[in-house]
Amino acid sequence: MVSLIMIAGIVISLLGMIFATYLPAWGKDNEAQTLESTMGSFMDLKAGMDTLAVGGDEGTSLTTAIALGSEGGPMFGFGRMTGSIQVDPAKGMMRLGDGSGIVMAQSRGILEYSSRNINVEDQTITLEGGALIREQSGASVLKGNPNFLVRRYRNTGETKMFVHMPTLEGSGQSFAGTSTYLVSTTLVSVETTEYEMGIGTETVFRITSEHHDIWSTHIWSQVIAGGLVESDGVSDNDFLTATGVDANGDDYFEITFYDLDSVSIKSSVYQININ
Amino acid sequence: MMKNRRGDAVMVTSTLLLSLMLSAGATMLLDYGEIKGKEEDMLHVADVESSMLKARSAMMMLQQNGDMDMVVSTRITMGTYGNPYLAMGRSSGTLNYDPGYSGFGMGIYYQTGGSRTFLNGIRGQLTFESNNYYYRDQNLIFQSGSVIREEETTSMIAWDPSFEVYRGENSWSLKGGLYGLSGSRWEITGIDSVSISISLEGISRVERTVESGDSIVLVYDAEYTDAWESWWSSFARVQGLDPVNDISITRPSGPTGPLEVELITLSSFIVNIAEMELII
Repeated sequence: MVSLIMIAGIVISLLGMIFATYLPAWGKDNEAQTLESTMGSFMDLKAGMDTLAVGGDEGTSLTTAIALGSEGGPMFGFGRMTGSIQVDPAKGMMRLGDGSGIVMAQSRGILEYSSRNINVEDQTITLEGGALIREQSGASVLKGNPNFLVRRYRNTGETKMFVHMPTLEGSGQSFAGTSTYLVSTTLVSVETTEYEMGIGTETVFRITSEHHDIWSTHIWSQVIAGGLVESDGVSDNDFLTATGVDANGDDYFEITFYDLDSVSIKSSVYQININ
Repeated sequence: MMKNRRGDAVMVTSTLLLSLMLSAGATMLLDYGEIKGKEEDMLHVADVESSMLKARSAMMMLQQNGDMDMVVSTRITMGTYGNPYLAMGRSSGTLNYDPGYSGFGMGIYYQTGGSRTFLNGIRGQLTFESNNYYYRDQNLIFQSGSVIREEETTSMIAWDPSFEVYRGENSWSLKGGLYGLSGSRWEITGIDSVSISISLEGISRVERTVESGDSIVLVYDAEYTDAWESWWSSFARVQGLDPVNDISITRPSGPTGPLEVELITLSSFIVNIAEMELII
């Protein structure tokens, strides 16, 4: 009888240790692994979309498997997490125009994944404007760069800008759960247009996004690396940046270039179907 | 008394059975963990190889379209996820980008009489060195558009360079594509996925009609000349090229010497060369 009670005590202690320590740790690992796998899938998707835009073969598709969540571990379902994915064709607007308000090109649309975790902080992965952004606990990090390039050529003194502006179109339907979904991306159209900018013509690039801070940091660093000098607001140097809230209440980041020689825009449209 | 003895016997037996079950379970978990770990390590190296091939596809697309503005990003996962239930360790990896001549250099020469004229060349390699916890380490090396797999002291070309042979009545031509790497050297070690940006920095082309008696010589100044020698031998055999009259392979004279591949009865040689830059 005493032995039975002692053995029962040992077994209950063991189970208590497993429940209190190991199950949450396993759950965290499981969730982190699933999130890492999902980010890997998004990276593959972005690489595929970039390659499709380069190839320019309209009608070509690529399919990427994206796991929204995980069923969790055996028996107790620890680490079970769900997620949702959605194409929102209204968000992530990018607009490129001159200083007089003439729009040269614009694009819109985002593919967004949101996780619903128990043990690990929720994450949001957003593919917008060719950029791959991960957000967690209010902080964002760029995991895949957009194609935005400004270069000053030393031999000619010319300043040229290149930007890839992808439009993502989809049904707007949201999918949620723990399953793996196939995201089919079809290149509907792609064209490259070049504009020769006249002397004194301003070029204005604006991105309306929840992640405008990330865009601001990245584009600023790209432009500085390209050899341009930021204006101090008094004298016009090469560019000036601004952030604000538009008429719809959405945050935006804007950069104005004062004397670009030419602008090359690759506009592509992708149709995204989630199955 | 009888009842107490029977009760004691039951308890002792139960305790012994419980310990046996715990021991057997722990042993199975440890053994299974190692098996699972080896499997994950092998799958991980296959995934890195697949990523390098996707990088090559992106390079081909950029080269074919002459697009020097777009940057294509590709993912490489450095390590394994591990398995928390089996207490498996996580394997990691190191990615090394060396655009200089120290790892790989290849020169294309036109040989006439006893003299050689340099036509063009490429250099640079991207190396993934695995740091596996369970399985033996395998390294993957991207050179000139092909992927070399190295395990312990043996290396082989896992994915062929893009060379094609066109046969004429009494001659043959070689066409292909080569990818050199430029930019700044970098190295990263870790477990998670990294994004590598690939851009086209320059395009050139070697297009040469080879006169009778002349030849094209490819000189490999590389770390894995064994793999290249083996590949060229196999390539010549598969393409039906005579190993004496059509193609001649000269082994390195020492441990660090160059490998020379002389294409003897070649009538024309056309190779597109792309200079790529990889940034992490």
